Amino acid sequence: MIFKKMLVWCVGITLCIPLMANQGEYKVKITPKVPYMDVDVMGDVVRVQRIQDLKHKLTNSYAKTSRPCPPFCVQPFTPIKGIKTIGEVELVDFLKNEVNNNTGVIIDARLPKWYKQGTIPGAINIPFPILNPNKSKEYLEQVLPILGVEKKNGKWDFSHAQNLVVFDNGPWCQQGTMAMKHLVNIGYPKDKIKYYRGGMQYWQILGLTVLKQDK
Amino acid sequence: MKKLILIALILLSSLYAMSDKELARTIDLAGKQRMLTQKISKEALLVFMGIDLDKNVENLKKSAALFDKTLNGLMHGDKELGLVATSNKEIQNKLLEVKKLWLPFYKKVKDIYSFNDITDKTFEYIDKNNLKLLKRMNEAVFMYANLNKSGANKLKMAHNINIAGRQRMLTQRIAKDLLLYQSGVNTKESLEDLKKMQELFNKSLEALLEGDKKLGVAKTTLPKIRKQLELAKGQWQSCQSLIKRAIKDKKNQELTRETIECLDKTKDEMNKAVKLYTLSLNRQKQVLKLNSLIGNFLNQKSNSKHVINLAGKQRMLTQRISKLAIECKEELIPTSCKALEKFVALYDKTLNGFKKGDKELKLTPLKSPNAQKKIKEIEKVWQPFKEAAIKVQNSNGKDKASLEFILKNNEKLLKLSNDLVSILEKEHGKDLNYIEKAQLKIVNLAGRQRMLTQKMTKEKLAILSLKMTDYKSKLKKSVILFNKSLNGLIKGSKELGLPKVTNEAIKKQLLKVESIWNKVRPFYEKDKLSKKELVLLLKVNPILLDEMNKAVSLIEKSTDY
Repeated sequence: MIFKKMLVWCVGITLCIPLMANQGEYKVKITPKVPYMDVDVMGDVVRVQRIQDLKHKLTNSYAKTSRPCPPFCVQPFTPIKGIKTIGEVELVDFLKNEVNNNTGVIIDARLPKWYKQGTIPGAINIPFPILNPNKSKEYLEQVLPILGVEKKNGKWDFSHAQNLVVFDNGPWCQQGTMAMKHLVNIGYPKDKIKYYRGGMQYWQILGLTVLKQDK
Repeated sequence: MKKLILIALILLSSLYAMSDKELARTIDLAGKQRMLTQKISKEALLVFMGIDLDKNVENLKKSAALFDKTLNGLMHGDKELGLVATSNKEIQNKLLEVKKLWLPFYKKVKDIYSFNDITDKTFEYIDKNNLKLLKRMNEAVFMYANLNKSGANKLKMAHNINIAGRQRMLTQRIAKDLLLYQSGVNTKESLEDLKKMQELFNKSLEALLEGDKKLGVAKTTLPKIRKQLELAKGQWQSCQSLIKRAIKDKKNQELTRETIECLDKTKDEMNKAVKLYTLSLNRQKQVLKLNSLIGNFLNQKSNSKHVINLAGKQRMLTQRISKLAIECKEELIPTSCKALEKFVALYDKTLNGFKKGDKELKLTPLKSPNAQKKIKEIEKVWQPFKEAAIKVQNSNGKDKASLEFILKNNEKLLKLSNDLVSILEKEHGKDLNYIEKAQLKIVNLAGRQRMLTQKMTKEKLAILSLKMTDYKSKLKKSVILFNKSLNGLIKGSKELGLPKVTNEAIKKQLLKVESIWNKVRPFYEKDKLSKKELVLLLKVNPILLDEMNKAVSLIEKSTDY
């Protein structure tokens, strides 16, 4: 099974910190009251926590500060009016309250080669081009029902659509913004979409668990 | 008329088409029917025994009405329950079998809660038929589950949900057996069944918690579900001692009531676990469906890249063939003439693949009229070029006229091959996103380097061996272009619109190319070369091409440059 190939990967270190038994053992918590969050990934539990090594520094490509713009230009805090931008704490809350109850989905909007290099545990990869109604209609028609959108009398009905959090590589990446633009163009209600602007870069800067697909 | 019938059929089939969501709901409700058969029997016995009469009469009415409504919903559809009738004939027949058993059963149940006919015979009937009803309903559930086979059995804990669902039914069956035993109906069999079901419940609960390969049950690792199973286990353990006592103390109605309540609570706890399993499985199904869709989407996209890549390689082949033709004549490398045959065949196969498709090359015929028009133009130049190359090979380079023809026409063929790349890029470029467009520029430039490795060597050979002095300026230009592009790829170039390479793997590969290039560049630039130097250049040339090829692949596959 593909997901057997998935493994927990902590940025910058070869060995992952073993899952700790109780909250007291966590020096680096997510918030004072939340040391970690357990996430269901294809029926297995993956613990979202921060790297406990106080000396740890980022050394991978997310340590990089500069990329050519365009295309890697800094995104506004609110790229689409009406779509709320959120941070890591809200994302962890979303995992707990929405993803665990199947009312919400976290969308990794990047192209699969990025996704395979590491994603947020519990996130689903929906590359932004597949959501483009002008270039990918055939696929879009199949993606939307999977997100709870129903077609009634030839029109999309979003009343049972899942809540979404969309993210990409970080504030310098526009893949998430493109995905949200496509979703809004289709008619996905803005209040059902949230934007995690920090993306993989901020996620890793905070030493949060990254799920990587084994090569 | 035929049209009308067809429309009616289409409408009917769409009425019966079941979405995944509806199927999941159907399986869930059909599964609950199994539990209801036992719950109804238990409640009928409670009424018979006069335990909490008012409450149990109400419960019995509700349970029986729910079974009836759900069964009808499964057979004919029910909007309120979210049920759609299935078009599957086997399932319809099975549901008819259930209905045949249910109707007289329901009549007896109605007699019980209306106090019309409460005799030992009524309960003998319930005792005799409830397991038959359960068995038929169970068969229907499995048939529905089989409709849902598309990858579902590959999911982790796919079987756990069935086992957890069965536990709910077992609590009711145990309660019913206990009541049958206490009321004196079929005492021996009831007690045996009770113990058997207790054992099954224990074994199944343990399997859910720790896994059981024989039962095909995976260990439940998700903390939320484990916690729920532990709650159910705790509840179940407190029921065990109550059951033991209730078997011994047949007449103690209070104890019986307490035991039944305990079993009902266990059922509720197991129900919560089933819901949690359902959530996890639905998430898994969602991921699998999206993965499959995205896989198809990417295959379609990578096909465009594959076609452009092959067209790009054709440009390089025009130069490689020309270079090999000269090499063949000069007899500098023993394998050159044979290699000529190989690359002529490859160019020919790819060109045919563009026109008619080629399974081996994973090519379907190019649909674009512009591309097909260009292919026809290429063919006109390629046919005599190909014949000339074969003549050079067959004559071991002695056929001067053919060699001259190749040298005269190779750049024309290169230009036409290049035109085809441009057409394909323009047409497939419409499907590219902004990242791919940015990447394509780098890939194209790196791809052109492959062709230049061959072009430079061909030009050097033309100058040295064929004394074609007009190639001197061409070679100079090619060397400058190769060098400038390589530098641009490594250090970045405003003029070429290239960023500086920062990806370590790509950088390492480009530096490898640079190191080879630095060694062979003087050979291209020197006016005269010894035979030894020329042979060395010819031997290193395929290595340079190969290393450049690796760089192109890395650039294509990497997320950043």
